[in-house]
Amino acid sequence: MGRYLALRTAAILGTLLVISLFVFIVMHAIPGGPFDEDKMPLPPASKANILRSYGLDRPLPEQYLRFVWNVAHLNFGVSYQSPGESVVHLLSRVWPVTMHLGGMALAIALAGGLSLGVTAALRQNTVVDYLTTGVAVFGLVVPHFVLGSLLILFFSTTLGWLPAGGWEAPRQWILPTLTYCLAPLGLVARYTRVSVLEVLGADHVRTARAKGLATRRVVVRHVLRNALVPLLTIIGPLFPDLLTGSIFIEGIYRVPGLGRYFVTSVYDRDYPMIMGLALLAALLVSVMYLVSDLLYLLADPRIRYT
Amino acid sequence: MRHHAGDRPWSRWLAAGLLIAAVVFVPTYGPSVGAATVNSVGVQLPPDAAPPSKQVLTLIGREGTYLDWSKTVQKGQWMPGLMSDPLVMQDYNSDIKPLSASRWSVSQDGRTWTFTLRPGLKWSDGAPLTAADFVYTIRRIANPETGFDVAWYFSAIKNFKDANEGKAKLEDIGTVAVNPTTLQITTTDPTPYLLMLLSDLYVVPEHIVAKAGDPWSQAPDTAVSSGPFKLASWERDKQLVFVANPQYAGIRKPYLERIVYKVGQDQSFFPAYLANEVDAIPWIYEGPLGPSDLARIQSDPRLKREAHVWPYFQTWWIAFGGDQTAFKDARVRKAFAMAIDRDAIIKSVLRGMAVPAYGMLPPGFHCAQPARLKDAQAYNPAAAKRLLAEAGFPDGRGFPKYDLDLRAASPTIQAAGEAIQAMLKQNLGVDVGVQNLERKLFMDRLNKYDLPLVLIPWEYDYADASNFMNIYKSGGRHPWSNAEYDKAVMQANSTMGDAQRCSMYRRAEDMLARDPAAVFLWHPTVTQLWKPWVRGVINKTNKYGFVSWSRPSKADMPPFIYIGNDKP
Amino acid sequence: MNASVPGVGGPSPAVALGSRPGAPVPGAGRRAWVRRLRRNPMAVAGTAVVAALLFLALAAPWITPGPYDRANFGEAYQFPSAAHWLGTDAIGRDFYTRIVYGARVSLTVGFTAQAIALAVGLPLGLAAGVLGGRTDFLIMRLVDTLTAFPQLLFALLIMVVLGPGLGNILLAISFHAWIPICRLTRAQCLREREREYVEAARAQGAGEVSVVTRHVLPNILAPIIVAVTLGIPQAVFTEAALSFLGLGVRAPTPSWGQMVGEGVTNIRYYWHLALFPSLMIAVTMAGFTLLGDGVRDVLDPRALKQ
Repeated sequence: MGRYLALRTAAILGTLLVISLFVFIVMHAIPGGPFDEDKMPLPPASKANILRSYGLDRPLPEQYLRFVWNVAHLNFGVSYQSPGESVVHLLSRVWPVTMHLGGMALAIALAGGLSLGVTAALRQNTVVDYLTTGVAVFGLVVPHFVLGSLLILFFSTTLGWLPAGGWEAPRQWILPTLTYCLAPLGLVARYTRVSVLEVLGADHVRTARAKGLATRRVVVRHVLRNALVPLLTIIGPLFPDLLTGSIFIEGIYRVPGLGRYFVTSVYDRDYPMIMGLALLAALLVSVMYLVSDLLYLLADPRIRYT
Repeated sequence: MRHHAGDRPWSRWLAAGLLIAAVVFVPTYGPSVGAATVNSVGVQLPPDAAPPSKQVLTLIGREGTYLDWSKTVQKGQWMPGLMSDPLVMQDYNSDIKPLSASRWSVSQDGRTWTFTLRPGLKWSDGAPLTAADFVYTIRRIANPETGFDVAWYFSAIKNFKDANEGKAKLEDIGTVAVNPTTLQITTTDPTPYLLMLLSDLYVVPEHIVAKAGDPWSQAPDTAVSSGPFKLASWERDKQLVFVANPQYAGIRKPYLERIVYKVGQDQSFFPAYLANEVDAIPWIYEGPLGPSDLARIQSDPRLKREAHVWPYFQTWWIAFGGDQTAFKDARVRKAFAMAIDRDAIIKSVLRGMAVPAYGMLPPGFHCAQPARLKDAQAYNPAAAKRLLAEAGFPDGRGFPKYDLDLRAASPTIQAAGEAIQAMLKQNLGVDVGVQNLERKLFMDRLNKYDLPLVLIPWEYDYADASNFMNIYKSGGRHPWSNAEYDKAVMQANSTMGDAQRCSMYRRAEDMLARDPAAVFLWHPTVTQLWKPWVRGVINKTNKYGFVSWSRPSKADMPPFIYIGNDKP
Repeated sequence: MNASVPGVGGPSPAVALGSRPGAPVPGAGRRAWVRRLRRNPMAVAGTAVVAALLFLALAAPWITPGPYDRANFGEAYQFPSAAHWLGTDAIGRDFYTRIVYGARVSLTVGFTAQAIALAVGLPLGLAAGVLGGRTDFLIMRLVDTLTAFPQLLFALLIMVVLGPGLGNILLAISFHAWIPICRLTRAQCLREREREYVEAARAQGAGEVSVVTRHVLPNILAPIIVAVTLGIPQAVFTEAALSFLGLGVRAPTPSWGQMVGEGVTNIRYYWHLALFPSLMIAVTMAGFTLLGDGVRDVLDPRALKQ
């Protein structure tokens, strides 16, 4: 087990290194630099000075090695979009907002998805099943940017019940969270339904039911526990997805989170932020996979790692 | 356009009713009308103003890097004028008025300008604001270490360009503090529009910048102000708050106690306005209010009253690639110009929020006289087809496949691009693709003359024809080049005397439109929304006949705005 | 982080889900599954939707009144009417025509991306699952690395480096789309290899290649077909998200994603410009999702036992 963990950790570090190199190369291949201006190009002397002050005048391999060296010392550089603010500081400012929003959405998605899924499975091929499936599919098929605009149009500008944007008061959390949670909720509901159905069809459960155990007890004791294992497979990837934010939701609702930086950093050629975001997201995904593998281990003793 | 209420009979009755109500009720409340309310910086509020505690203007806009427009303009945080008083300002008529300088004079040869600063000017930390601060600001802008992104703007000042390119010392720039209240600026050539340029010279505090460096303008502790407001807080990605500057000794003392500037992306502006979360959308570009929003505004009497519309000094045109493209043939360019129906684009795509462009200079702008060019690129599909055939592409056969590239276009402009595509196909048989390019990618390729066909705007920086006409000088933004044009523009740039200058600029503009160097398409009209309780000088009709909140991103207006007592 | 829902990717070590007793039933017969398909109303609905979409894409020139880029400036922004069933857009193009032609881009993106995903993911998954050892290790490290790569960031970087366009959209989507297929194939392989019938075939002297092609592959195809079916709408969704960010196909080619992007800004008045393309994307998503679920139910041999 210890050896397994060590190996996996080493693999994660390797992954991060490969990703950083790849992103570094691609990012510098993009035409236009961070200090190329819109209306008229900067005079060469000015541009040279600016590039020098950010260390961008050095050869690319040197810049990369410096980056790796600095990152090893937990220094990710300074963002160009928010000058004077270090990447670490910027992330520690915006990421909690995104985690807050994503966390609420995730919690609702899990709770709502599980109950919808179980309900649908227990009433398979009835109106209840079709209705819950309908809700789940709606969440999956409507793009965030449509749903978000629609909810604002309905609840803010027409009915005036909820604010159109911002992130100071709990009232402002409702619409973004609703927009955000529907897709994962639909996903969880669909997978829960399938896995519960699968387990319900399994021999030991049918035996338990045949023995006359109450359905509720069967569901809790046998079905949910067994159904949770495959569910881990799809819940896992939801974490990094929800915890890195969405430019669509943050843009529409003025949520001061991380999501928009994935886009603006590329558009602004904010090299330190691009690298920081890539590494953050990669680390999140890698750790999530590690954790979900370990959870499998706990949930299903039949699985063995060698 | 604004007095739409008048064409409804009920509105007259309403007005009459209000009048009667006013006559009946005003005497009842007489005593409180007489008691003048004075705000925290000693300004007497107008009688219809809300109490000082409610003198808060809430706006929504984009976020920038620094509030310091002598560091960056392109990426600057909007509204630098709240925290800095330039030497002169443009008033709501776009006329130059004294601001930090109380008066000025020009030498006989038109090259040396002497400004006298108002006595007693100071920074919000109490330090005196002197001519040396202005000298410092100009040198800092020129300094290549600063990397100021629109340094070309001030290149009329003597030795400025050389210093900016590292070829001259900063001390050699033509600017001298004769004494603490006397500033002298020398230009290389006579520069009639220097005052216009100086209305954008946002002075910075030397004693702070020397200590705090570039980030000085980002934190309330160091963001020392010479303007009517000072920074109270800046929460990134959320909002900026400005409060009235108690130390301010200039002439723009504000009615407002506070300005809250919420940070948002374009698509969030209109919903925030509709939900009463902001007092105005005063911006001048098409992003926040698309065609659908304009239709919505037109169909809603309340919104219609809150909408303010006027033509804007911006020109959209199509520019062509250089000699390696089919556009080296003037007949091809002319065919394109005559195949595009600008009126149809304005009517359909832009929902009337533009006027047709016949030349470079927008109507009402310095030296503009668009009517004379009306025939230069008139829509004539049959003649266009003939011209293209003469150039060797009958019915568009054999014409290379180009893309019409757009620069990070809003959906409205994307639709305009597709309109042009459809016209070229239907009228000339030419197939173009329409491609929206990311901003930096576009500029990188544009500056390399690498784009064969682009749809692009220019908006004025200062109200002088040189600002538009310099774009097409050889070596400028587009590959088109004409020695005669260069000569006419350069000569006009350094001639004192408007009549003479304008005739030179017009000769140059004729070349652009008739050669043609560009297909001139439209000048947008601005649509702004202000809640009815936003009052002040913006409610006055200016000399062009418009009620406008001009130069909103620079914040010339907020010091003259107050919140009415009808704000709920 | 982006609008697409996470894939069906599993954790990196192969996980046998267990509780799947019995060997597959090889010759259940075609008629049997057609019958079961017909008994599953959701699958029938999904099939009908997908068939209708394919019909729109293929028959577009014959079921529309004219070319998709014919502008009529006198008829801009018209609401739905008898003359224009779905109204007209900003330059008076018939919106019904553009919606119908839009099916071509969306389906091309969906099918091509999944075809590429299958072409890359299946062989790599087979190689990893069958050959094992060093090959398995290398392939899985590649998979881990790419999984950790933030998808939207990567797509943006690619689109900015290479420029917009259909080919580059496909590249950006396919880059990640093959990963779930690869993981799934490998996991299925590992499981099937240990089955009695495979052991039996080996015992009879069948070679490794023959075991894979004749025994393993046919038995693992069902879940892969399901994964591919469910991957198609995700590709459609990602295309919409990229178009929304202004990185879509070259106009005047109609794409639902681009239409939604433009339409959302019109949601407050010219509602038809937002509604119909959103509806088409939603219907596409729902159709393929239902079809995928249905195919799973039909092809899954265990369903026979219920």
